[in-house]
Amino acid sequence: MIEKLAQLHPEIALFAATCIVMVLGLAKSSFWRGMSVWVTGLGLVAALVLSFFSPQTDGMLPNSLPYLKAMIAAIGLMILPLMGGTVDRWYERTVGRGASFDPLRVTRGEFYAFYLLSLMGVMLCVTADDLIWLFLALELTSLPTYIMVAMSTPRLRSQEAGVKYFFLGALSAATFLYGFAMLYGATGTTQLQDIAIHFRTEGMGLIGTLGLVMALIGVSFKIAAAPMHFYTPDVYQGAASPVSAFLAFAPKAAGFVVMIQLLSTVGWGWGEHGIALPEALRITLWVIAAITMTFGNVLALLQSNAKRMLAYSSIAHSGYMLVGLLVGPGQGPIAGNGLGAAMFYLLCYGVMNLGAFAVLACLEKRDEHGELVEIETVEDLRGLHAARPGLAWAMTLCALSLLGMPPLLGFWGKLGLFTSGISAGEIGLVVIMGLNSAVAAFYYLRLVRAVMLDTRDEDMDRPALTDMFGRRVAAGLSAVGVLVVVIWAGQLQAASDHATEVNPRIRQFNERVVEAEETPVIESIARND
Amino acid sequence: MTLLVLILIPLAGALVVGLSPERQAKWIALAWTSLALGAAIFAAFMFDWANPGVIQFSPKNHASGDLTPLLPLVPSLGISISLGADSVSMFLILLTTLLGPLCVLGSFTAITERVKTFYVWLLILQAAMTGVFAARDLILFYVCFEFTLAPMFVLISLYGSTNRRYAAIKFFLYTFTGSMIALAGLVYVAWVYSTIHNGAWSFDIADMQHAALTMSRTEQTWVLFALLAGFAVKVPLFPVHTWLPLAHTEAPTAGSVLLAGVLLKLGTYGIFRFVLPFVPLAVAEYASLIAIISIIGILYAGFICWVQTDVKKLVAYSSVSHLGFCVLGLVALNMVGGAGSVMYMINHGLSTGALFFCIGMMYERYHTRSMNEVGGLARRMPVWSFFMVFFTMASVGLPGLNGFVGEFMALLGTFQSGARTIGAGGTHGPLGPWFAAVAATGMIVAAMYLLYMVGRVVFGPLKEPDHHHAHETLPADLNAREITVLAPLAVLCVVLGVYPSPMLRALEAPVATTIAAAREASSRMAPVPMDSGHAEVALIHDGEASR
Amino acid sequence: MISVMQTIPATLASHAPAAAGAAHAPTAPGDSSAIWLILIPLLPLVSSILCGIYRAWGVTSKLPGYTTVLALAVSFIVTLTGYLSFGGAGVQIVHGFQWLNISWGEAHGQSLTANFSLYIDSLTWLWMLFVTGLATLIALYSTEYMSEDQKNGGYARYFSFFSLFVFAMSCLVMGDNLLLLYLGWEGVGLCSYLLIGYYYTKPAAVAAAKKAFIVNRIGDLGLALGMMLAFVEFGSLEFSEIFARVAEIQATVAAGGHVSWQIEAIPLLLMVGAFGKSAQLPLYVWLPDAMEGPTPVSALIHAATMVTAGVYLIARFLPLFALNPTSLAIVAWVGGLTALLAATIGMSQFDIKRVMAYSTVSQLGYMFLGLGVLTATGAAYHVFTHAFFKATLFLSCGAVMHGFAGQLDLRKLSGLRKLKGWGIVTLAMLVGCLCLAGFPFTSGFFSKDMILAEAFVTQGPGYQALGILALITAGMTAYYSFRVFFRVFCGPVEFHPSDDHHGDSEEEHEAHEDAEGHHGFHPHAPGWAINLVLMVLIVGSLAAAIPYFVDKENHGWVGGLVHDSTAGHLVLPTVAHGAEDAAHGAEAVAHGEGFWSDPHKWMYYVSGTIGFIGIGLAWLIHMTRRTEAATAPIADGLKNAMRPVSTWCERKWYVDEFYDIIFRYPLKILSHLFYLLDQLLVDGLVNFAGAVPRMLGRSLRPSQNGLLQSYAVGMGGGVAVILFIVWILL
Repeated sequence: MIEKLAQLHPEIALFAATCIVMVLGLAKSSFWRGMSVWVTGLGLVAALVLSFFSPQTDGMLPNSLPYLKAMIAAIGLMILPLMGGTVDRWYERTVGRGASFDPLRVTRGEFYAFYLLSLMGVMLCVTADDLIWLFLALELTSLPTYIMVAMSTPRLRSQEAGVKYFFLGALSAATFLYGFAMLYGATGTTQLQDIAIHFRTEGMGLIGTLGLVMALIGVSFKIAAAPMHFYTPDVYQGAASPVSAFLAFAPKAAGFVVMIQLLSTVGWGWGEHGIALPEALRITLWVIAAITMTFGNVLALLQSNAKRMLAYSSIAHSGYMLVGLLVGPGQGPIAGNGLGAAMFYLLCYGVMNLGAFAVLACLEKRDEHGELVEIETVEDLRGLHAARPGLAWAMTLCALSLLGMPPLLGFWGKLGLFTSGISAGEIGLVVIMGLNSAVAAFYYLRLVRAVMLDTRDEDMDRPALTDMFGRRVAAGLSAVGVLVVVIWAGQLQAASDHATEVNPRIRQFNERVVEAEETPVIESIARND
Repeated sequence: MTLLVLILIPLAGALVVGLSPERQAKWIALAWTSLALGAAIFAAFMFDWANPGVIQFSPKNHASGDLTPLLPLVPSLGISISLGADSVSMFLILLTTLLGPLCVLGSFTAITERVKTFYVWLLILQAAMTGVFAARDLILFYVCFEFTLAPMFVLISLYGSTNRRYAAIKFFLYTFTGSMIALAGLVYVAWVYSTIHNGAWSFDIADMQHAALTMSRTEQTWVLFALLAGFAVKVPLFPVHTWLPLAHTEAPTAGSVLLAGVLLKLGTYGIFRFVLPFVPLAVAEYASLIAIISIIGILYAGFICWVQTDVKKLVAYSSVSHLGFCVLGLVALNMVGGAGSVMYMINHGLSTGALFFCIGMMYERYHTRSMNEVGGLARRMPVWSFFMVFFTMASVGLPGLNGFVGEFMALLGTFQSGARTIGAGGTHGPLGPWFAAVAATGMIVAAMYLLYMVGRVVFGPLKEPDHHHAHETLPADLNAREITVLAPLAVLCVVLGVYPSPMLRALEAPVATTIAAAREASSRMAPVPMDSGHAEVALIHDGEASR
Repeated sequence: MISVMQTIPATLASHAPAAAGAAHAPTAPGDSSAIWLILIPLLPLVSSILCGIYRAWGVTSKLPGYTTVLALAVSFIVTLTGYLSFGGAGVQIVHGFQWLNISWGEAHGQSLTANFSLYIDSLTWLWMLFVTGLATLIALYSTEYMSEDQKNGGYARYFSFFSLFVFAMSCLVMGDNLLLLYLGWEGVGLCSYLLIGYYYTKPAAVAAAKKAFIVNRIGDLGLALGMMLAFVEFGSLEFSEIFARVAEIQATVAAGGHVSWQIEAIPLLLMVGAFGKSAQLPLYVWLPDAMEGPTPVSALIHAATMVTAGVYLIARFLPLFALNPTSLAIVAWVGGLTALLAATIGMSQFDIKRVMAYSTVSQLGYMFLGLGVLTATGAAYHVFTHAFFKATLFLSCGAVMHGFAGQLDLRKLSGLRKLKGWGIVTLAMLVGCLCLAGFPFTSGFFSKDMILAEAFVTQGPGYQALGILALITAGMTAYYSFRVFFRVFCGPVEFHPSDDHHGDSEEEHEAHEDAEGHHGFHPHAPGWAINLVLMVLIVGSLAAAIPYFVDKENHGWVGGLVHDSTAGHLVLPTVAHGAEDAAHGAEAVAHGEGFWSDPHKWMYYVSGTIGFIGIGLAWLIHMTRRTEAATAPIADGLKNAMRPVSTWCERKWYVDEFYDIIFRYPLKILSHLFYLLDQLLVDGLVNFAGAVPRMLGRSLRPSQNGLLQSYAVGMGGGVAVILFIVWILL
């Protein structure tokens, strides 16, 4: 085990930062408490830098380190300014006005620590090479988020959301854990590579298949795919916007990475062309992808609550990314790589989705009790351009990017999925995806129209700008991101493709098996070459 | 580089306008669009008209073997910013850049609120449209093609009339849906390229064209319909046209002008540039179907025009009718039809654009477009009436004005399509006299509805709305600014009607390239049985392609 | 594929300069260096543009009128000079500049070429001489006639359109290819539209203009399709090449070959165009309505020149028509029937301009009959004489209209010859009517006889019957023309000015009424320009008979011209006419020796007698026992006696109503249906497609009820379903 630590430089950096933040959070001096966010940031920067220097692993995704971990750290860094001060600014204000300090009531340290731990969980998922590790890493990703949701606002809604999230999360954990158990039962090992080899040599069998399917469905809770998507709108709506933004990224990243790892045990070295998944699995994923994107989009159409709308859109985007997963690494060296496309899309989605939530987080209005709360509805956003042109532009850019409007970032992400889907012959699914994008255009345009084109009624309150500067920074970063990252879209896509190459050992093994066992197949392979 | 400048000038202009004070916005916009026009004219001078079929201004030159793109964008997918223009593109770019300053000038008094935003988006729209015609990379084309939606959406939903919201969103969603499917088709072609080039991807139009021709008949058919889903909506062809009258009616004048003048041409340009060269086999097979759809559109929309009371809606439906001729000429798959269609693109842009300007000028004065409320304006506005009748006649297709040349050639091409053969293959074209005969009745219908419009709006007893409040700053008849907007278009209408031969000469080579390639391919591929796959053809292709 | 892609541009590049070079090089042997002939169309165009500029500058003097007269006069002089220089020198081709040119490149050899070039042969000279000549005269007439509109700018507009018309007519007649002919064809249609709608505040004028344009377009469609078919079959649109090919086909036909159905279809299509432009059945309906325009326009465009374009077209392509005898038969029958129908209507109209309009339709019918029975000479000569006498008639009507505030109803005018200053008008009217009636030794007499006689000679389906019909029509013509003359110019003096003032300015109209009122109305007699023009035309109408006696070998001067033109080279595949060269008309026919066996001889007497009978009837019915303008006792008695027929004639056989019911209303209903369909079905489907996601969303929405338990059930159920499916799939 200890040699594995050598591959975990970023995680270690994050862990160190976590420890410091936890202590700092309890400091009496508000200056030191305030430092916790900077330390978090520092930890993430360290992780970002270190992720470039981590050695290769020999897991299912041996090249994953630079791209995936760096992406996680980078997006974590982008979300951080949004997170800043979310939890206990009321408390800090009270202290600022001279109230006495009560370590039991200050939650700042915990919050950042959970944030870091969750990101650490995502990173660990990337490096995981056996089922136990996968399970632990997944839970490390999720558990902190349950609490973050509950504590993100002082309102009851957040606690309801937290509870729902927790119970349903537990249900999903049970599902995939049961699946893991069946996998172990079918193969007698928890090592993913061994499972892959076992499946290849012995066949999957009913138990193996069902186990894998259960595991996948369980994990699809993390990515909010059907049928495990039910929690999404409620939780996103209940949580504070920064936390929703985080939820739309971190667990999703973890979920996709784990799904890739699980699917690598059975696919992509298999089948007639050496890439396809077993038919049952392919159909399952196909249906899940189609339902997920359609479900997300058609329900998002009906929403008047912007946060809920974005939650449904997050479901839909998971559906898009599932297309990439279904395609797998593809035939061609790079461009047909669906995994790469999905991971690149994840990056795009992380950047652009953040902006949409950040704009919501930047604005406040008074609720019926006179409390300042974050705005939520599309109605609240009307006429933003006149009051806050910068935020309006940020929202516009992000919404258009989410829509897939060229030349913004979202388009390039979608283009990768399109190309990979078509190269794998999944034209039907690609068309469904195209039509879904068109459906999605409707509600994203509602956002754009509300902020840019509508004018505010005379009697409406002007939305107040939050006093937290970091949130505006996050919105700005995201808006600039959807424009500027396009320049490096090519490099990033290439990096993503590289990162998602399945372990050559598995491939080679599979090829050997194919050569040895199935002579008719050899001809087709030869012809293919 | 020249073309990049042409795209960047309006973009820079948009930035400058965005940063400038509200009151100066229109002048700055005018200056930048004029600059773009100047640059385009300069580019036209730089263009080597002796070789109009060769892609020019492009460092990526297949003929000379220099394949360096201007700026690689996504190298793994072979996507790059590569620009180039043959004469067809050049003419359309000139049309776009010409309409730019005119639109700005024509909006001086029409746009009084959120002026800056208006000109910013107008400039962005111009950049995108220029990009569409200049792109030599398919993704760049698609990016620009799709991006035209955003400015248009803003222009309609901010500056349109009463039902603008609905119109804008319908316009956006309708065309967006179509182009998503078209994207799938285009990507499929790119994938075919990658399969025959060992996984290397390219979205370069010339590369893709070679690849596309290796597709089997079935594949071509699917790709044809996917591409048509995008382009036919844009054109728009008959059953998918309903967004157009709505968008036109609601859009501000400049928006309508650009919509009719340039944006609709994106569809026909797409058919010319992609559908014909990429899937000639399927085109040859389904040409009669497309032609029938076009003809239905010509007549159906024409008759609908005849019962309109909203002038703008009438002209909008007339675009549906007119562009039917354009598509008809393209699928005739011969020189006359192809060249006629390209001429038609330009001419329709000029005359219908001008008609929308005229209607806008009337609207500014009377705040209505209903023929029940205004009429007999010749008495009140003789100059306006002159232009209105003039452009109507151009639109009717009166010989000697521009509309005729394209229309006649498109019809002649259709007529002649089945009879004569061109190219080495000697195949028969897909259409024939009957198509032309039925389509030509559209000429009568056009006369019917356009003269009906002129007869009511321009002639007859003077009728002005009861609530008529003349625009405070506008005189009863056109002022010098408005005449400046219309005059260049009128001059071009005459010039292109009387002396189109330099333009036709310039169109000969690129149209021949496209048409002959399409005819050649369909004759060559015809004996290959269905579903033969690309394997054999790919091998042949590789042998030839390796330089 | 690649090789194709590369070779084509290269070959085209090499081809392009060659094509450009060819444009400058002399092409056909008939090439003319007389580039100055291009002045004929150019001067009217310049004048049109100048008048447009005057309009923009707000010129209110008579400058536009004089500019036009000058330009047209010079144009006429140029034409005359040209005729005198080249009249007998065969075909002149004057190259202007390249209009349309697109070629296929490589060695395929085919190209679409249509240039602004002139093709001038004797037929062209004939037409251009009277077009420019009459146009000059009528422009001069208009300088006075239109003077009321000087103030409001209509004057310059009028002359701009007028000149433009002459330009378009020149293109039509002189174009060296079908496309330029088509340009002129549509151009004259445009000018006709603009000039009919000159009084644009009058709804009737606007409607008439629209009708004229649209009905003409129906004909134009035929012409356009014929042109396309000609291009496909002959590979060119240029006359010289087409006639060369036609000559080849004639040669094969002479050798017993067959004519392909495509070639046979070309004349049928061209014919439709001719019917539209020359107001033949069933497309004649626009011409009577076209009288809403200013009278000089009716005289020039709708009587003398434009409407004869159809005759020109068929005459020009007579060799082509001759290849399809059916087309000639159709032309003859349509012409004959149109002549008869229009004459019946003309007999019963009260508006004297309408009478003239129907008489024009009727006379055009004669011309078509002439073409159909293969006497291009007769048709062309009738065009020539008709141009003079019909212009005279119309301008006389115009003078009346001008003098009596737009009054045209023959029931409200009477005895004008007794008024002071109306002598020349009366004389002009008399001469015009005599010519029209075919009074012996007038020009109309000779030209009509040529056609009538030929109808009895030529073998064709029912041509004898057609000849008899035409004779009856001739009698009617004499009757209705003198009906007008006797009622308006003879009898007791009585006149009522019209309410319907022809000016287009309401204010002016009111002023008019206030100043003079209806009771104190004084007709103003025509001024010098009108009288001068009328005098010239009187002389012209009478002198138009002279060419009949010149060059007797070729049946007159006109016959000579026709003989030298393309219309003179016919080979008839099946018509047993007895001679190869049918353009020689009667002379070439193997006529009998005796008096009664040569219709050309007895026709003089027969038609002369019939003319007398018609005039006598008119005298009897409309002169005798007449005491007031409104009624003529015998006429009213006759009218009552023949109630149904006279009503139908008066109501123009209800043809307009018939067209409305058969075409216009159904199409209008169809259009409304289409629009409804578009909104409900086509757009409805789109909206439905747009609503589907929303409906789907609504139906799925209950699943998101916010209850933890139901979410858990959903998730668990989902897992179960998927597992079950996977299990099934395995």
